[in-house]
Amino acid sequence: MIHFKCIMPFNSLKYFLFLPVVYLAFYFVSERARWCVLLTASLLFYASLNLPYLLVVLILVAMTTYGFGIWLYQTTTPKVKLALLWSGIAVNVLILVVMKYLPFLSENLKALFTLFSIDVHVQIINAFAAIGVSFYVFQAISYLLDIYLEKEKPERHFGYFALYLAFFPKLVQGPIERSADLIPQLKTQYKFNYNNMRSGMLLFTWGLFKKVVIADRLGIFTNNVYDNVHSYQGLPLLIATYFYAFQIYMDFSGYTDMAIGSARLFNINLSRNFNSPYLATSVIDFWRRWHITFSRWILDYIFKPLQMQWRNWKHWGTAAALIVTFLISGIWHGASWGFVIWGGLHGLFMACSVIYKPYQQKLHKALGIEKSRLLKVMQIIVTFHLVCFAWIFFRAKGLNDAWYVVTHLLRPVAADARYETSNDYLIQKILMGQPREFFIVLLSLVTTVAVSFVVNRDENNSLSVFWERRSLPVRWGLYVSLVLSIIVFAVYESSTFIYYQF
Amino acid sequence: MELQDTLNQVFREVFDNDDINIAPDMTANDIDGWDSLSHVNLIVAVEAKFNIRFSNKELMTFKNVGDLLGCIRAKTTNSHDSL
Amino acid sequence: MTIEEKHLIRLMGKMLLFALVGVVFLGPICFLSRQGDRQSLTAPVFHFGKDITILVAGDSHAEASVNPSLLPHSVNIARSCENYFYTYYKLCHFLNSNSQVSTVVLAFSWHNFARDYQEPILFGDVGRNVDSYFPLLDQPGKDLIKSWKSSYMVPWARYTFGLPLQVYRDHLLQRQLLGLPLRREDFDFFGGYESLKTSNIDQENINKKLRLYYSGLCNSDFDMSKYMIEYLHKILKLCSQRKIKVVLFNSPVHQIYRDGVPNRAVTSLDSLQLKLRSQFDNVIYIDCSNLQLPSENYYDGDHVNSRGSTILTKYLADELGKLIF
Repeated sequence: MIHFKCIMPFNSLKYFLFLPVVYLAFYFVSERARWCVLLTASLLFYASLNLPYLLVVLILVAMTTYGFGIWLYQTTTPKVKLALLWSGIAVNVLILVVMKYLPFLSENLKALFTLFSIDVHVQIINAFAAIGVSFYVFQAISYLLDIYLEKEKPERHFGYFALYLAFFPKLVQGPIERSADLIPQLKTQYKFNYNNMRSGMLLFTWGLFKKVVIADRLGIFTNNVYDNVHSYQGLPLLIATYFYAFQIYMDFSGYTDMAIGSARLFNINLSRNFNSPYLATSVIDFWRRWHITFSRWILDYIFKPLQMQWRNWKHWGTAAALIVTFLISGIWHGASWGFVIWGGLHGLFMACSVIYKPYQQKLHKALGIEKSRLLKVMQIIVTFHLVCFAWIFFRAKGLNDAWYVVTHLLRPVAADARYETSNDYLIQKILMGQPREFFIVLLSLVTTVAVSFVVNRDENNSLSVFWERRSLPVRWGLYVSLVLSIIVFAVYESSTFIYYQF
Repeated sequence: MELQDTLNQVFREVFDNDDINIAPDMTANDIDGWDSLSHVNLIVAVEAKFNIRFSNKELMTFKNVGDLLGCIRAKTTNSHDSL
Repeated sequence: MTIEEKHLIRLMGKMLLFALVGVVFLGPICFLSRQGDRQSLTAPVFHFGKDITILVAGDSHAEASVNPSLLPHSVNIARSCENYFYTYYKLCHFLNSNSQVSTVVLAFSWHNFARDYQEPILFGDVGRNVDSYFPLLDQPGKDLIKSWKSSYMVPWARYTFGLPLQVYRDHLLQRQLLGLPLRREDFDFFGGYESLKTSNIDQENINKKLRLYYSGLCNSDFDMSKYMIEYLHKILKLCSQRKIKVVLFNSPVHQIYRDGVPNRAVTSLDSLQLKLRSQFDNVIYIDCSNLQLPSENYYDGDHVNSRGSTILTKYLADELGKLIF
């Protein structure tokens, strides 16, 4: 897995200076010029990645989609409309494929040729860093589809349209916004909103905490194991896998909180992306709670049409649609077989559950346990383990590594001549030589999970709402402890967001 | 309305609930158990009952029961005309 | 004033208040931490006895091969991954606290100068070194390695302002607050002899290491790092000013590793040591790389283990005895 080092990720000093400066510029400028400030800031933000061709890609996607959108709307002939739609989608998909998958394709093509001993020279292209492209290409495609289905009118103001794609809080890792949700908000006149400022800053700080205190710390352990899987077997692999499940959740939801918090300063409410995903009672439920904007997108634009297309195959049609949709989801995440298998596994789990669900429900009814709390807990535990299992393929450095992990997960821990006492072994291999960090990570995980449970009781499941209801001393106490924890416990060693590479 | 009654019957069969009474402004939120899975079952049942077939585009634009009714009406009226 | 403006003022007021609370709260902690850091460098643990006249310094080669209990009047302060930049500052500090030292034994091998290996460590994100050695650096040193990366900014913020960043890792501060005496192990940069117990000569591992040292990250040819040479010069000058003899020694390496070292490296090192010996009259070069000890004396391709270090230290003691008298 390649972690691209970004020059201005959300948890960098530069961003902490960038955000207030942008806000101040935004605040003091006249209403008509505000979109300029945001668009310029977004382009600067994208440019800070030091990959200038990305700006070109963004502008290309923006211009072609803008043009196609208006053209599509103005055409009345159904055949031409359909052709325009497919062309618009094709351009976007082509751009995405070229940016992300060319190296992967050319490598596999070469392997295929070698297999058949065909001596064709296939140029191996180096991987481009395609940060953010997957996200705004998906937004562009949903925009075109919404115009075609006459759900939305095209946006005539190029500035607002470009901002819809490029808005810097959501530019590099989502959430994936629909034009109907975001564009009207961008156009609304800005009025200073005290609650938004306060909850925005809070959410940003909370996301920062999740990322630098928990996710990056978990990363110390998971990287140690997953980057050298062959040195471990048994318990360390198990711990690293569980840790990774929490790491990616804290990392991604932390990032999303920082994005939503940043956007809220400008009175923009981005869509919710997470809803206690590990409390899901089935893999289908999991996808209603994890990366919600992404799963809604593939649900609306890939799964539903496929399911409808194959509706005469009843359950089998749905099952097939699920597998195809999630294979595509795997590919979207990255150009490697590990991601494809990860997606395929999720598709398979859901397909199976679709097939056996009617029988399962009958069984539960017959046993009278369908409302049982114990059943729910069991379902949560099973689902969590299925998801963890799939994460192995997502994280491991290659299929060989992933297969090694799978086959060695439950073996007994191997004796190792390098360690003299079993205590030494415990500390070096299992706690990876850092008992203090291990303890801190457990403590912070437990705290965060406890906080989530308390917040979860409220039907909004929203931290900001929960926070506002506390009394003043409690709130200030919490602010202070949050900021202090970040200062004292933040992990600074090479931290990058996991979802950056998508 | 004959059409609405027939459609109502289909709803009752698909969702296994005899208390359903559809109205044009109803959406998936208003009926228990109407998710993407049962939606497919519903469409299949409607197509079978009225002997019609919806196009992909039409399927993606149904916002509520009223849209569904309107589309069925258009398709069944046409077929009557062609007789 | 509109309501919005009132709200804005209210928000700014609260943020200011929060910052004030932070300063009041953190201020004393930062102050104490800063004081403690500066004071810790004067701890008695840095003053070796009057009888210690030999300091062994350098990187993991010196760390593993010179056993101070077998070399009379010596202390080993070598540390893994320490390049000449850091060794220079360390020696400044230790020699200031130990005016009785008359000899410095310094690890001197081909990889110490490999530009594509050493410079990424010096300027790159290998954070722990900056963090550990920061209190020893002077302004020119800091200027050389400074960057916006967190691997520099965090130690800088810690030592300049006393900010409690990752304070739970700070054994030093904890012991100071508890009033306990400071020991060698409380200072990350201190270093010392590592007795390596095992022996593992593996062709593949040796090849990996050779690639790491001599092909750098981009498979280039061997090039000497001007910074390493510069700081070695500084070390030699520092010692010559204090009339201290410097023994550059190339520790024993396994034949397989030795065969893999590029010729350019071997010749560059040789011409460098000749040049240095002609420039400085207090420099001696002892080449142990060709000692060709039996395999069980090596920990890996380029380090000896405790058995090997026994042999080497005795040999070194003999040679030093001949040279000094």
